[in-house]
Amino acid sequence: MKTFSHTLGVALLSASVVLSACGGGSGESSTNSGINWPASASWPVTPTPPSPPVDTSNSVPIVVDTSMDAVNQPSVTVTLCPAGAPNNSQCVTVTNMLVDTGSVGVRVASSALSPALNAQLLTQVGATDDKVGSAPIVQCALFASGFTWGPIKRADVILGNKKASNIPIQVIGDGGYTAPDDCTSRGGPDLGPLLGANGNRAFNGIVGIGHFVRDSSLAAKSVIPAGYYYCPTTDSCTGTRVPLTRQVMNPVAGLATNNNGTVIRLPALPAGGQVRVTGQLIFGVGTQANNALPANANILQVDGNGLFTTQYQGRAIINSAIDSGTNGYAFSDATIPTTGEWYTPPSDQALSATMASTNGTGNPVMVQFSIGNATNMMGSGYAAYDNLGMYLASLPVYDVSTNNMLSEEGFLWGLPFFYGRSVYTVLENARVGTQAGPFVAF
Amino acid sequence: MRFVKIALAAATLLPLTSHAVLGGAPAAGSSAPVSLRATRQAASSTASTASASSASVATPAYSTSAYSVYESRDADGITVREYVLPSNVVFALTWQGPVRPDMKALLGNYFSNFVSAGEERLRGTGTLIQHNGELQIESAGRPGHFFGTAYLPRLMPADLRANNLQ
Repeated sequence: MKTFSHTLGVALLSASVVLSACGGGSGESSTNSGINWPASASWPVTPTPPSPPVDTSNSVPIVVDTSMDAVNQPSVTVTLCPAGAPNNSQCVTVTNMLVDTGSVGVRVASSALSPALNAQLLTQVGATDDKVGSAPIVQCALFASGFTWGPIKRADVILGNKKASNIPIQVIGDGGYTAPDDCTSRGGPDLGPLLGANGNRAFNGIVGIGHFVRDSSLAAKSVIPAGYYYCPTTDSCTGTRVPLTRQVMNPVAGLATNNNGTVIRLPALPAGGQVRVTGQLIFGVGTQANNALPANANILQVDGNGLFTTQYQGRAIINSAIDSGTNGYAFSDATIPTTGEWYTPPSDQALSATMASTNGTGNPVMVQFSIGNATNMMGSGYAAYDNLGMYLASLPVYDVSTNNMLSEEGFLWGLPFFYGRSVYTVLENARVGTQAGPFVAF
Repeated sequence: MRFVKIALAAATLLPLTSHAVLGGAPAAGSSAPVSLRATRQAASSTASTASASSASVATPAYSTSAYSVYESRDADGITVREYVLPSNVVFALTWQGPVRPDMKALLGNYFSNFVSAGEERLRGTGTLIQHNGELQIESAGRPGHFFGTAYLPRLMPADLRANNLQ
């Protein structure tokens, strides 16, 4: 608690500076409901403190609505500027950026930027295996659903009142470079053409706020296929290692303060879902009043890929994550009827599973959840559903050396898990109280 | 570990294009002769006990009367398992590794099904599951750790889904 109190004090101190700097704070700072001040906090000023104004300058609104072109897709608005620009004249504000705790870094559709900004963003060079050192670095970023292809640029990334200065981001689909065969053959679906404006809908990019500061520790050490490339010319790209400092960066880690993680806070949903949901993406964990980690929080240490173990119906599933970028609960239960990818039980299924860190630290956490009929619920055309599930199958495999069953099975706690909760995503190398990151808590 | 070593040895000898193609025969390097497989114990409760001394080619990691499973692991740390019918046709694949394997090589003509499944509509960065059509695919994971399954329902042994992990 000592560290926490100290941090809190510093945060409040800096918060007051921020508030005065913006002329008294925004209108959002008037409410402080739901804040539980630590009972043991020793205030240096007075034993009966007046309710201090709550500094919310470390948060931005999250919206879940149908403009993202898919259900359960949380988004934020981001402003991108040329690195080091003296004023905001070249900046572009981009809405509909997916909040993704399952990846790291800002990736934006070129079409969502102005031509001027596209031209102003600094080109990232200096790949490890680029002997000349001046070739642009271009990335094939793999996701479960496909890949994004495009150059790494440096930009100032502004989230609400906070800025990550001069961090590498990916600009998707600028047409500048031809994706190599090993990118397309491993990537599969190209997400680039799906991004950007689509009538009155848009999915303009990704704000990856996962547990890690940089995109790929692996790519810093070895050349991995469908990873980073250096491209001396537009159609000759060669796979390369890239130093961590030149890789796409978690924008939260790039903030000057409140940079040790995030809180995603979404309201609980009514039965049947909700047409539109607003919540908060809060920067920092345990750094100020609105992001304190409760003493009774469930804490799960995650591994080097942000994963933990979920036990479901007697099976220990090591490919498990709490992931805001996955739009349903994704797991395998052959007893629940499906339609296409979705679970469609005749009535809501009350289920439970137990989360635990894969390395055995901490306490297991039993979580109850519900799976409803996807066809019926999505008939409403809403954007947010808290009981949407999909069948993520598995096939039986034995390891002959151990005679043990192996499994590629996964259990993903997608956005439905986030409704009605505060989910804390703490970064590697960070510490909240006595708890070292990376961990996820709720 | 013995099997893994064999698989590793085999993998290093084989170019990636020698992987099995879904709907076709398994690659020469990762498959044992049909007669060899046919002699394996068809038991659902025990894994086949392939030993290093008895085989100069990779042997199934697992075998039943309905299908055999072959495993390979490449230099990038990607494990691919091929599910093969007694008729020597691959009906399912699984993968797991820090990057996705060469899906074009693994899926063959079905690669375009994978691409169209992902490009027909947006579903964020998360799991891609396509259960409609001839190819069923589940592509999951995140940067640094991918896994998934692709299979052809028309070739799937009847009891496999029902016996999910049993």
